[in-house]
Amino acid sequence: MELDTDVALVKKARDGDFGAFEQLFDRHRSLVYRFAYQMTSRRDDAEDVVQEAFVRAYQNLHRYRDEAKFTTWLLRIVTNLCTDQARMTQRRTALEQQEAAGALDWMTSGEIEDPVNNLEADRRKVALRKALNALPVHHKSVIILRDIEEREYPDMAAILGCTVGGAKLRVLRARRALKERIAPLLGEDRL
Amino acid sequence: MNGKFEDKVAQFAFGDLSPEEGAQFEREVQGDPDAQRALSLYKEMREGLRSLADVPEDQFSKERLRDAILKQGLKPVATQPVSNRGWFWMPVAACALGFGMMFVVNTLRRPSAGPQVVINAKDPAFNIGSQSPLKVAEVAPHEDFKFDPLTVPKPLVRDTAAEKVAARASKNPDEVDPRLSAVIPGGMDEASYDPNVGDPPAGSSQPSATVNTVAVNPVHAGTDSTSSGPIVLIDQDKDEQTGACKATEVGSSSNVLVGG
Repeated sequence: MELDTDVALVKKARDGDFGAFEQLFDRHRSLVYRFAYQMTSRRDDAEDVVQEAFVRAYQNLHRYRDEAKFTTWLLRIVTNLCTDQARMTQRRTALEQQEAAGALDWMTSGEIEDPVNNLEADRRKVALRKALNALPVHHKSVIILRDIEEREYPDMAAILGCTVGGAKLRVLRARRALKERIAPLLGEDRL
Repeated sequence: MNGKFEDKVAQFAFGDLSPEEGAQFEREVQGDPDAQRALSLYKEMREGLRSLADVPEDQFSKERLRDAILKQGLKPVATQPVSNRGWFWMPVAACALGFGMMFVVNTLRRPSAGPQVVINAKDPAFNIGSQSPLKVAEVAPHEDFKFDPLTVPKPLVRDTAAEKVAARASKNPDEVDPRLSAVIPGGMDEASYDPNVGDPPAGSSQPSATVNTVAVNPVHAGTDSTSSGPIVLIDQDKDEQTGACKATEVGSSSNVLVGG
């Protein structure tokens, strides 16, 4: 039902009905924002990603194939955007660290937290968030998709552009990497 | 605990195993303290990740999206079949461009059709009676000219040739060059001079000492002989001061009679 409706809205939007595209935006913005926030850990960055994702979706509506779910296609765009942004952030962080010779470590290591998140966060979340943010972006994205957003493996495979088996393998590797990072934190303060 | 076993622990902790597989695996890990510790860690990790699902409310609006789209001037692109003919048209376009460039370069390097001396027996200016014994050298474009890029065309310095002819005539007024029997508009390259051209037809008198004037036209190539360009008439009478033949410049060739 949802698939049919999304497809119909996409067709209307292709024909120039911007209202149809706004309906798609209203329907899926929270999904996109949640994933973007998990990837960026900052609300303003996440909102920028949401904006860019929908702009790109609007620009490339002609490339959307109706056989896939619109949300899958949209999350694929968001994943690519977040991956690009994470790489740029890593480069920028490395440059800043190099320039400041470690003086800005307190700004760049660990999580750059949102004030709202500071109020809600407990030690467990902070520790886990630190470990998650320290993961490479390809591990981080699959952890978020599978263990936070709880997407099914076929859906993940479509988003990541791989097979279902490949998606399962990626999840296993990412979980193992997260466990290795979180183990020392658990030794200091138990989750 | 090897990697494969650890992966199975993680799958069990995250609920990726089927109920049958899960029950069997749970029995396996009961006697393994390392596996129990890893299982506990993965389970806590799973719960912690689920707790991260809460995110702060976004403040994104439709207006912001609309502004972003309008700012970039985007429009949804209509569905169009993707053309796979680019690989074919690109070399064709490149070849066409190359030929076009060659044509333009050759056109620019190709000299304009050079003057050719021909006999214009129908020129009314020289038609004396009905016999028309004289012929006039005329400048006309050579239609059969073919450009040879390996041959550098000779510079068309027609005035120099005309001066040579005039000088020779002034030195030996008795020796008249056959070519002096013709009006030479714009001059003529000696190397390309054909003595037969301009000869009077059979039966008429040969150009001889009866010719008392030589018309040298220093006008540029391509000028018709009947046009009224400046013409220098060299007389056989010598100037008293310089000893050279007298020269008179006339404005038009319409009244110039060559060869008597």
